[in-house]
Amino acid sequence: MSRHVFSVPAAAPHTAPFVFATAQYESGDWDSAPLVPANIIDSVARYTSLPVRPQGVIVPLSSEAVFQYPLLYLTGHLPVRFTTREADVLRRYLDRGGLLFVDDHNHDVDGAFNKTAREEIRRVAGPLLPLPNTHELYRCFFVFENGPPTTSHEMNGWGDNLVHEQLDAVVKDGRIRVLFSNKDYSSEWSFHPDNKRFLSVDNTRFGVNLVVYALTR
Amino acid sequence: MTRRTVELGCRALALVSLLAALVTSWRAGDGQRRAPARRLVVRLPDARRPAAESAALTVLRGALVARVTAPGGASTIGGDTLVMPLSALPAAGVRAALGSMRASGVPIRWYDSTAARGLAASIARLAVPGAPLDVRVSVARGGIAPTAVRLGDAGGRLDSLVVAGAVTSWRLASATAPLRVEQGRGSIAFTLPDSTPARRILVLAQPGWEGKFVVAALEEAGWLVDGTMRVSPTGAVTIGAPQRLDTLRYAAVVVTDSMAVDAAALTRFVARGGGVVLGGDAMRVPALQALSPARPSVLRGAIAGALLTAAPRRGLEAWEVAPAADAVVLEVDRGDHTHDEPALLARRLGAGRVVAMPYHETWRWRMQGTDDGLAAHRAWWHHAVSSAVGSADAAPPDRAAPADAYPGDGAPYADLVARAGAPQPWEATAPGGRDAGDERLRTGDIPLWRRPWVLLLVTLAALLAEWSSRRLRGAR
Repeated sequence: MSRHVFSVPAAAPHTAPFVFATAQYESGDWDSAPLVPANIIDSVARYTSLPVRPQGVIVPLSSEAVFQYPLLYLTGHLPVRFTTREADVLRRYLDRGGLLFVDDHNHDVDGAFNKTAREEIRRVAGPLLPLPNTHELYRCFFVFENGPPTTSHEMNGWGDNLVHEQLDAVVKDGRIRVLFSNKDYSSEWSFHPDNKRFLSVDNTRFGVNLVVYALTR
Repeated sequence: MTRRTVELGCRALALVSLLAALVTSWRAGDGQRRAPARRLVVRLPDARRPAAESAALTVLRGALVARVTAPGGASTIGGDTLVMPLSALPAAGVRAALGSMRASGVPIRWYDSTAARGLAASIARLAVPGAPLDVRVSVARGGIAPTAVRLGDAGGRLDSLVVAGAVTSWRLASATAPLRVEQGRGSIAFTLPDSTPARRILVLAQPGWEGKFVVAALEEAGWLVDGTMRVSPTGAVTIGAPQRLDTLRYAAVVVTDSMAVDAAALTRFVARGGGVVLGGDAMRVPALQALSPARPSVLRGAIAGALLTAAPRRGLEAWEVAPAADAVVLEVDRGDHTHDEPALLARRLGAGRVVAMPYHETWRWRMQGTDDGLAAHRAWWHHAVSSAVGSADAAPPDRAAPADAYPGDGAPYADLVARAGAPQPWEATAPGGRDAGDERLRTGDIPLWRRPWVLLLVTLAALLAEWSSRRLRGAR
């Protein structure tokens, strides 16, 4: 083992940039929303002064590399079954203070992803409970008076044809450990960032709140 | 009586003595196995007399020596019981000695003929966030069946329980004076110790994993944390309820990597008694360098894999620092072949203290370290903050665990009971009485363990007399 010593200009801040990390798991289709990371990164850079790395990373959930990224994004359509190793790493990740954002890409409470992912989360982290719409997550940057913003997929009858009023969460010591959405933000946010100019209201703003919350609480 | 008859008598005496010696020896051995050893009655000098404490300690020392030098004493630490009738409460040093003896396995019994009340209680406010009240009660039952001890305050009954051990304790988040402890007809009333409002910690950090996990660690350690993290030119996230910096509200300020620091306000805060913790990059903020106990020079790289070793801090990037002339190094990281590296430094400024640590991203210790990293990271930050604030705020929760402490001079009776155990009922087993299985010793008695040797001497003497008589009369 060797140590490297290098000098840094006198007053340069040395803050590591935020890196958006997508969880790769063995079962299911973890890469079903490939444009989401770029879109959220674009929004974080656009609206905040947070240092952010231009590219996201993909991290195997079975790897201890996940501990480098205290915010993880996990999505998919297909049934989710964590391997023993994945469950063990995820349990330790959450115990240490990591935040896992799970989004049901099916937008379907009867869908395979929703049912199996909830079972797996319960097994690893405990039961998911409704998160009050007054939670600071909805106010920490942009203010969402009515809780989580609706998605076009909810409004247009896709999936279970429901508008989900709340997100669910596992909260420990006052902090969100797992945030679970059936609103299909994975579809809502999966477009090229350049196309935001065609939107009257940027629909990725809630993603900024999620990142800000993860970085501050 | 002929000479031959005398010789027969001597032979018979020798045989009888030999048999008796065998039997006595067997009894002594069997008794040593079956029965608890003797009781050594120790009479301590009256504690009200001058120099009683040193005299009592001398007596106790003598009793210990007597136990060890008794046959089998050295190998049976739990053997002989020290029995003490006490007519007055012993001094603190004697109580401590009794507690140490009891903790090391020496059986101690004491009989209470003091004038002390059978109900003793103490109350203190713990120096932890929230400042709960710690109430301890000792009840000397003296052979009477346990009765309920009731705890109440001005608002009424708070709790009631039967005290099984020597001391019981309650921890109360709040109470209204007077606090009252009652048992039977006895009662004790207290005023409450002063409650200083819990002071908070102000964290100045940029949004990011370091600030997030420092706040988390301090909150998990029980501190109340305020902070503001600026996330855009016009937006900020607030933690807690940050207010103007003053020593009445804040015990300490933790600066991690924030460049937006009002150095003048921090300097005034320290001068008035506040604590400041400079973490990693904060030491490099030019405006804070006048406060810092160390000057950073170059960033030292992390040792790959060290986060998973027994020296996890070496797995963190850290600034090489040069301590200021008046700084004190509180913690060091041991180097392999080079010098030790300061890990926590402190200096006094005015009425306050400034503490600095060289680490750049301590959150990696918690997230990427071993499973103990979470608790170690939390303890580290708690230690750093505790080093910066005054002693009233600094006691970590685990240092004030009631089970590990004694009531002390504030409640000497309770202290004695806590250390030496509850007193024995006087009527049943007082030193003048007799326990079943105890060997009662009277003045002039030959101890049981010596009797076989005496009988063997008698046997030898009788045989010698018989042999001499036979030789004198010419027989073989």
